[in-house]
Amino acid sequence: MVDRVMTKSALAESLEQLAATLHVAAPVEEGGRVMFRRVRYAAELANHYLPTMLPPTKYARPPHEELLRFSWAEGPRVEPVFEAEEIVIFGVRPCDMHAFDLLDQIFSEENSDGHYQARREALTLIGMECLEPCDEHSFCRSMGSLEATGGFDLLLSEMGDGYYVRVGTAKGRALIGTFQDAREAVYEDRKRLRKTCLRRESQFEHRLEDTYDELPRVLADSEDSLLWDVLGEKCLSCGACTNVCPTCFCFDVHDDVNLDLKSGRRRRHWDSCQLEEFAMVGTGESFRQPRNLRVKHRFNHKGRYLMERYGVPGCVGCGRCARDCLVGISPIEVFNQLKGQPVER
Amino acid sequence: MYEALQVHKRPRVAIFELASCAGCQLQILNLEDELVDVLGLVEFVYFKEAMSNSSDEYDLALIEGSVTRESDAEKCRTVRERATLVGTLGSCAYPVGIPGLKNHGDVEAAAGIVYGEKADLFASHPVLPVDAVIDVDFRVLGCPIDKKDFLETLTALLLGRKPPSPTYPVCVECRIAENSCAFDRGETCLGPFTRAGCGALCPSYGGRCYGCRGPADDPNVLSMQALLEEHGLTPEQIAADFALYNGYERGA
Amino acid sequence: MTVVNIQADTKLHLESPFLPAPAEIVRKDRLNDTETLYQLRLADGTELGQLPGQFVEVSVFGIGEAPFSVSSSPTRGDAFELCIRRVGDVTSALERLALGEHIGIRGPLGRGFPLEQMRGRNVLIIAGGLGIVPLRSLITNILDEREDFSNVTILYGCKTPKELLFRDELNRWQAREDIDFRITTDIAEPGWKGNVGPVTTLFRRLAVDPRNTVPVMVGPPVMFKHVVKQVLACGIPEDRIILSLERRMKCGIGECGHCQINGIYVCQDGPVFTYAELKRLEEAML
Repeated sequence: MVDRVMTKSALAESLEQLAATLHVAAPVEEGGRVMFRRVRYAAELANHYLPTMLPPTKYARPPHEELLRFSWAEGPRVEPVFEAEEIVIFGVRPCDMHAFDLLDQIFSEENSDGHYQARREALTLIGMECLEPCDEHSFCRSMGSLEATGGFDLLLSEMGDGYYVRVGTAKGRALIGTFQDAREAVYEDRKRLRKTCLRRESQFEHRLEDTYDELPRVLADSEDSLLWDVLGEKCLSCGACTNVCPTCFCFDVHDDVNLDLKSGRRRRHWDSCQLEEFAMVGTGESFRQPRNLRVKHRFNHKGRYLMERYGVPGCVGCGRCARDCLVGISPIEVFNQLKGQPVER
Repeated sequence: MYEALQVHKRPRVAIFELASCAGCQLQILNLEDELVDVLGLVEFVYFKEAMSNSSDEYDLALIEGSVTRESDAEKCRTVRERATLVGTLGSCAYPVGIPGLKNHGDVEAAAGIVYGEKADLFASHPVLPVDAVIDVDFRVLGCPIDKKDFLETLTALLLGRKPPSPTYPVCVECRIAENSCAFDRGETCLGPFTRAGCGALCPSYGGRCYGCRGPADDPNVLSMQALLEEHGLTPEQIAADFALYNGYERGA
Repeated sequence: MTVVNIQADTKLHLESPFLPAPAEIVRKDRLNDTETLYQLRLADGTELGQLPGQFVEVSVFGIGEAPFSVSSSPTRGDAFELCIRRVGDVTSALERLALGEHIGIRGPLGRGFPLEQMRGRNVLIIAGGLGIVPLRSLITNILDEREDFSNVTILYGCKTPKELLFRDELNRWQAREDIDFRITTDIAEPGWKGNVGPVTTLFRRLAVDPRNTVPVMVGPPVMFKHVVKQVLACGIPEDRIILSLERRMKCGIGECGHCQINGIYVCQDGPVFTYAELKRLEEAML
């Protein structure tokens, strides 16, 4: 698939054309926060980039999602619900593309979760490379997610007043075919892109003392670290960290009943291992009640368990959890402290 | 316990009002699209804001308001005796809501302010939530209650199921709503402490959480206090902030 | 929103892992104050096809879904049995359903007991409290294929004699000459003539051949601690000690996270594990 080059104004125009008929979502700034919203005009797009409050994975895995509709008016009838809206997401950053990859693995490859697959299939991802770090909380380079290695349909890299566009899938090729003034990339463009990428490397520092593949060992060695107790005392168990996390995927399932009392729907809702009820069983016993153990579980899930299970890091280094933590619990600090000063009980 | 209404085809419902603004009853009347369906499911036999007749025979009792005098407590005990299931409506009944503000001043002076020279005629004691006086089977929370919450509680009880009530704090719903965080704006908020279920209503309209639904199941109170102090509140201001809705000390 | 009907899209075959199959309640036996044994038959006439130790997700529509281990043996025909204690909404709603009414079933789910590895060996089954529920499936299967197994020993402990489940079967097991079946209760009640004490006290007069015995245990966490110690002391290697865990298996397919212990999903990797797999996992609580 041949790469393309577009000017920024040509891209803006193509996006607006697309948005005239389709749901185009892009980062929009509102009151100092950036979030993915439906846009109609290029002027709505956020000028500077901070990772969005909720990751774009929210379109594949919405906070509340209908799974089944049922009725028992005349014997039980139950049918699955597969609903999806066609959405073109513009400006997906590499960290979030890595998150999509992980979710795809869990919901599409390990499981055939049709509810996820339907939504995911209806998404078109237009990625945007990061040329400079967003803020002090991100550590994508340490997590191996600075570079977009896949998962995108189109991938844009900013070069001067234009974009270098890489095509990732047939869907992306079809889309770029509808964009006007997207010329084929030539040798000079590729040379420029390489330079841009080289420059980028020096912009991003490794903020973790370890690379992600060492984290499982560091965490395994830190089971008895006092740090967990320190964090447990601070943690508000407010669930912010898991809700804003692009790789968190836990959920709970509830039935809603209509007022006829004979029909209803089963829905799943985002849930969080940081909440007390999460590990409770039917008899009321909780298997992970103390706050320090809940915090420990989260960091182990991100840095160790997913790695052991799926071979990819469970954290993409976007820094959202740290940015939104009211008491300043930051994965950079946690991982580095565990590595630096193993506190023994 | 929650299956108690299963024996009734169309359970009789009575709504009682103690110290409150009656806004929670109005929320039920505001169920314009659903009210007809609701009437098909239950029979209201006492509902002061909506009808004039009354009855002492009911299966499900809903109590709105706080207990501010002995006759309120007596009323609660009678209701508890007569009803199969008793629930509360709104913040005045739980955690104690706006009437609870009285507890933070001079209770007798408060009577004087309200009733003037006739204050002696009205026996008034420190304000209590309903569950401090009788056992309560379920609560519909909020100031005022949420209409959807009310319907879900009702359908759950009619199906013999525990009414849904989140155990976690408002922050969970606030992040999902992608609201800007009050703390980021230099304000403070009781979201990390307060039980969710409102869909982070106030923060979604640019406000902050005042704690009207009472505490979540396991709030980290010490860390919460430290957070508020860090954001410039004095211990007195923190106490006052909690007292707005959570002015009744539990387990004391 | 523009809702695209994805089902119409032929290139994507969508399945819902959450779709239950209707099953009819064909029998209901109240076992004691809180436990009821349900016999169920899938409405499409197929067999459940469970392995002993596997579980199903049971739906009462409008109330919710909850996991239960299958209590009957695959050797016993097309109906299957669940023994359910009334503790919450789903279990209470189940009790209110009449014969002939339908519930939803997903499964069988999870990893069952390693029956094939047990054939030809001595089997030592240890049940504590409700642990007898999944083990009844295994025991019945073993007894139905008795010639495939060497010595079979069953130890069953409860808090009080009142809590003993499946009494008719217990009597039949007790009467059999080809198995060693022992019962104990923590607390004696008037009229109780059996052993009194925790299930570990039944080990006292037990000869266990460490080279050829597969111990299988299901019970509360506190029982695991003591019984594992006991069988380890007999010289049985860690990877031959089999146990089954109870956690909140909400989705049953390794997605929702509720049953996770450390990096393991009980619903997928278990609920049956070897002690060797679990011993280093802090959250296994062994």
